[in-house]
Amino acid sequence: MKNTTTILKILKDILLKNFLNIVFFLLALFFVVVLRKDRVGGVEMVFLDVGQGDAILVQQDNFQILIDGGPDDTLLYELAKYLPWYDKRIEVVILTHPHDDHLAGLMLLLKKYEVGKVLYAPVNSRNAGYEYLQSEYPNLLEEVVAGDSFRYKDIYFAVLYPFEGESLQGGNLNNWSVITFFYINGYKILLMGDGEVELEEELLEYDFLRNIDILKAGHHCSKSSSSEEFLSFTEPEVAICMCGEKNKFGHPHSETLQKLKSRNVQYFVTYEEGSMRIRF
Amino acid sequence: MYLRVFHTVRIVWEKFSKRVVGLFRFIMDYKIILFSLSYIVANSLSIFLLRNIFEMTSIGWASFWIFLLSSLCTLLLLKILKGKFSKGEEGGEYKGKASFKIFTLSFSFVSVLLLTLVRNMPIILNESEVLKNSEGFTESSTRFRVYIAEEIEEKHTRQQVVVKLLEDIYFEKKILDKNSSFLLLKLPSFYKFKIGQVCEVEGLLTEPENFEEFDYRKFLANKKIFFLMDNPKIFCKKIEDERRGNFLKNSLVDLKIKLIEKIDSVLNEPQSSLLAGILFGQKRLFSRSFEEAARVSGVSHIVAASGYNVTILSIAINKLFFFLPKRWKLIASLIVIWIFAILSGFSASIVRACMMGSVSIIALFFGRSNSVHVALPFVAFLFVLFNPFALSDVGFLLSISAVFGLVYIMPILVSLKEKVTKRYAFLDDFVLPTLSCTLSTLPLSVFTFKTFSIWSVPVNTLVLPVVESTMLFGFLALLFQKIFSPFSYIFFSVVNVQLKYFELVVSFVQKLNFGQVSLSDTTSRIVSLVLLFCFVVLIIFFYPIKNEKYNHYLKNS
Repeated sequence: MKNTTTILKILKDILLKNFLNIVFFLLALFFVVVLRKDRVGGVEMVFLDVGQGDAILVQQDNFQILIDGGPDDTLLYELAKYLPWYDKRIEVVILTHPHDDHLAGLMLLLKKYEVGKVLYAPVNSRNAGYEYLQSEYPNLLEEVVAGDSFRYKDIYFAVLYPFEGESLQGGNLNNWSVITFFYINGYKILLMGDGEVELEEELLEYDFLRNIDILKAGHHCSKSSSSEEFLSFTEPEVAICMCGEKNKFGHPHSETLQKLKSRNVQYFVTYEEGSMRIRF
Repeated sequence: MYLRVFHTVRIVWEKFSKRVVGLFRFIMDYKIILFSLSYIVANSLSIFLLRNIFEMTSIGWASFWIFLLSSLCTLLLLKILKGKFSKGEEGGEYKGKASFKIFTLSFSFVSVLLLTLVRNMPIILNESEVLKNSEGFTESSTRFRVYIAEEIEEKHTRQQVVVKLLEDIYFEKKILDKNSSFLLLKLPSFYKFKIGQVCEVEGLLTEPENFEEFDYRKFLANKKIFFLMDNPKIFCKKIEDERRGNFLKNSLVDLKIKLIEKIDSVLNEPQSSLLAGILFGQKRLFSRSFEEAARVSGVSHIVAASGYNVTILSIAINKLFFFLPKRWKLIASLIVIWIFAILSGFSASIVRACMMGSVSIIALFFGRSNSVHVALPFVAFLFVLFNPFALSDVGFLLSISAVFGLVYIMPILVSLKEKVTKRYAFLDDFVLPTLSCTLSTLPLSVFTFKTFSIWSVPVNTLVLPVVESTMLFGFLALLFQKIFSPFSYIFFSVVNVQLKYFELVVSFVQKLNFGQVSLSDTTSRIVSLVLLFCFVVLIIFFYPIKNEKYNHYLKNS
């Protein structure tokens, strides 16, 4: 009898002293086992607010596709808000073109996350980050051209540009952006990278681009992209402009916004809305 | 009524003055405290003097000699006066004794000052020598070999790499000696470096420039850095081919980085950085908004990896092994915190905190034994002796004040609590240690982080006990990652939830948007000084002393 009371007392002592530990242990079990916080259910696409630059996450279960990485380490903090907590592997990364507002964040991602592969279209560029990417991570890099496509469960995407055998005409890297078309549960999404009018013209031959649902407007909604012709061809429901607040380029350009308005296209700007999550 | 108030004030004043005198007697009795304290004060003074002298060149030298001569004269004078007074008839015994004490005090202070001057002279001489030639060094682009001397510090835009020269740099007529200084390279964050890596660097040296309200030049000079290089061209060898620097340090840092990569491979930001900071004292980058939130809620010291966590750890171990006898607990905590020091790659902040922590462990176990009062200033002295610029390092000051809180504020809180109630023993374990650390670091955090927040104490009390158990679970998670990964997954999920809670509390407080004041430079100084003064007075007044009536130092004063 005496022994039992001492044992009980010791147990009570242990419980009291480790009260917090036990509470958190149970909480953690609850989150992981009951709420399944370690995976994403359906498909979701997140337009990340990374300042003046692009970063778009597409994920289902524990499978992630990231398009561009924004201009700095903001990507890492924004990404963390949407990834399942135990998942530090991004299966596919797409680099549209080697400008710092798309590449710099990706380079930091490569340091902190495990990356399956990086899809890109090689181009001549003296960007220090780009050169480092090619020299340091050659086995991750995979070239893509128009026609390449990819599928994971409900996520399907195809590369529309650049065309095979062609090379960049003129010095504008923006027009060498990798353009991807996502088809998720019947929704059509077109991600234009920094593509400008010249590039848009090349896309007009794809008939399936008529009547798309979401357009990530080219070049941060600058004046040089989203021409009348292109907009009337694609007729997007929603357009998204990815820009930082008070950026020195004056993006999004009022002319472009006016064009969108006149066509009744609902548009969202990342610095106004913050990161935007769309569930399909 | 007035009389009564007057009476109480008088009693309070009497008790206070008695205690102050007792304190002085105590310090005078333990010469080692006296020596340590005066060395620390003299050290700062001598650095200040030497820097001013060398910056003023010719006039400076004159004033230096004047200073030296005058201090010698004072010494001589004191010696003579001392002889005279001890012979004096009118002074009486007591007066003679008091003045004798003052003489010995000032005599020893001046000699300690001279000692620190000798200690700091070569450092400051080197500094002035390099700075004198600085114009010659910053004119043209140069190419030279270096190795990476310290761990890389990441900033939002760039990473900062401290390198040591492997060869002297020759400018037209001047030479930058390879041992005279370190260089700071600012490079894009995507480069991956390892400590000890040998690189070839090409670029233009520049002198650091001060920011608003921040003496960046002095800050760097204290780390022996006098030149920067912005965006140089850099070509690094693989560490397998060539590696320089201290072998032990390199391999310990490698080990730590490997463990941190393990954390990074599981947890997302800011949880991964928080855990790296809490477990290894690693200084990491947080998003700007989180940094701001941490500052507002007064937990910057956890985020800034001050080594404060070691103090927390020592408390936690004490709790965890509560079933062991005292002696074993003492040994267990000492072993554990020094293992942490090793795991942290002997990073300066952690080692410092471990020394302090060892002192605080002794304090916690032996209660109010005098050894702590002696050990605390002595350890501080050792640090200042080893690195004369230690006092300008916020982390060092934070860990000292945390221990100070445990030794001097906690007994007061415990006795206050016991007066109110004898129940709620868990308060002693969970709330009081963190509360006393928070209080004791408050003046300093107001001074450095320039915010005064009413949230600091409640948030720390809410968060620090969790941080303790995060240390435990984080450690277990890392341990099991190799052995049995499902366990590791469970432990990491606990850590994740705990740190989510941390994040939640901190960002909740930020959203409240009241209760915190951003202070200007001067006001923050004033507020922190006032706080410090109040704390000192309160500690002197309330510090519980056993058998106060019969205390040797309080008798007859």
